[in-house]
Amino acid sequence: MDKFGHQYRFKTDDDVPGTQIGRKSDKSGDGLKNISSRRTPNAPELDDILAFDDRVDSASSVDIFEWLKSTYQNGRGFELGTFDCSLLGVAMRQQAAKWEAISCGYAGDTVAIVHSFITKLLETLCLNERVSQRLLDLLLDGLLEQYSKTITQVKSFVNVELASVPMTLNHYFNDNLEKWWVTSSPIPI
Amino acid sequence: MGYFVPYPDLDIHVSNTKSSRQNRMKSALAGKATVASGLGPVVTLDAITKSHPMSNADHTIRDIHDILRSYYKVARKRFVDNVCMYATMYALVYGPDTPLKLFSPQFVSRLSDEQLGEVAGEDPRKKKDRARLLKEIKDLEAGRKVLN
Repeated sequence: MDKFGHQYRFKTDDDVPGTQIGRKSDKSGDGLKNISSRRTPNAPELDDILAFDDRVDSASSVDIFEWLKSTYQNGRGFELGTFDCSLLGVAMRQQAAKWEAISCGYAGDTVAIVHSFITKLLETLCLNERVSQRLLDLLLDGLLEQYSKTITQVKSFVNVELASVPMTLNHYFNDNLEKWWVTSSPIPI
Repeated sequence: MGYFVPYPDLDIHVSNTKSSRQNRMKSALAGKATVASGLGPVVTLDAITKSHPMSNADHTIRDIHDILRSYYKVARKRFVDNVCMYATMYALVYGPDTPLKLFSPQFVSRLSDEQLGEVAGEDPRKKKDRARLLKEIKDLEAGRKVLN
């Protein structure tokens, strides 16, 4: 999530203070990668409910200022020195476009692990394979229902984060802002 | 829409802003300073004007970037925590209604006799064998009785 969650790389403090806007990001040394957000293979019976797009690209090489500039200019209205308040929500949605794939991948992994635990447990506890298989068949409907409920919940979290307004009570939001404004902004005179 | 929830701790304090502005100015100008004898580091007026080349739009974009970056950081942490805690751990591992707790005495007591027989009953072939053998014993017993 730390490495692949964002669509565009933020400029960080390692960049020279007061970086020129529009400078091409030169830190894309690792190149574009496409990874899967899944780590654990599915049991065949889970394929149906865990069918979602789990491919995640690494951060785009497009410079974040270029992207923000075009977003800002496309949505410009009558603001004078400020920006449209809906812009932040739009930008956030684009920046966090990959959250769903990543979080669903994580939930899918958890489901796969829980399921293999249950399967192994039944196999170990039951006298023979026939009994464990029959028991699993009986349990499967309830299990699948709960697994898919989990995935739905993860999706609803993504929805809550991105479809509603950006908002926070976390004071780190301001702490961070202040820190960066001290170190990286050019002087406002 | 960017809401900023009014909450005392969240306001950037005036005094802080002032000092950070001073710091910002200092750090931005430090590179352009030259040492003049008797005065310490000195920055010429020309250098100050040149150090502020951004247009209004660039300034705004810079602000958007910083705000988005800060919000993204906070939101990401919140999101990761929420997914981990509520969606996966609670729903799958610790909660009252997880798949791990599905197989319980209640679950077993809800099963019909037929289902129970299917799970724990004997193999159908063995069942047939047993029935056949029982019948054979009965037949043989009957035969022995006849012979006696």
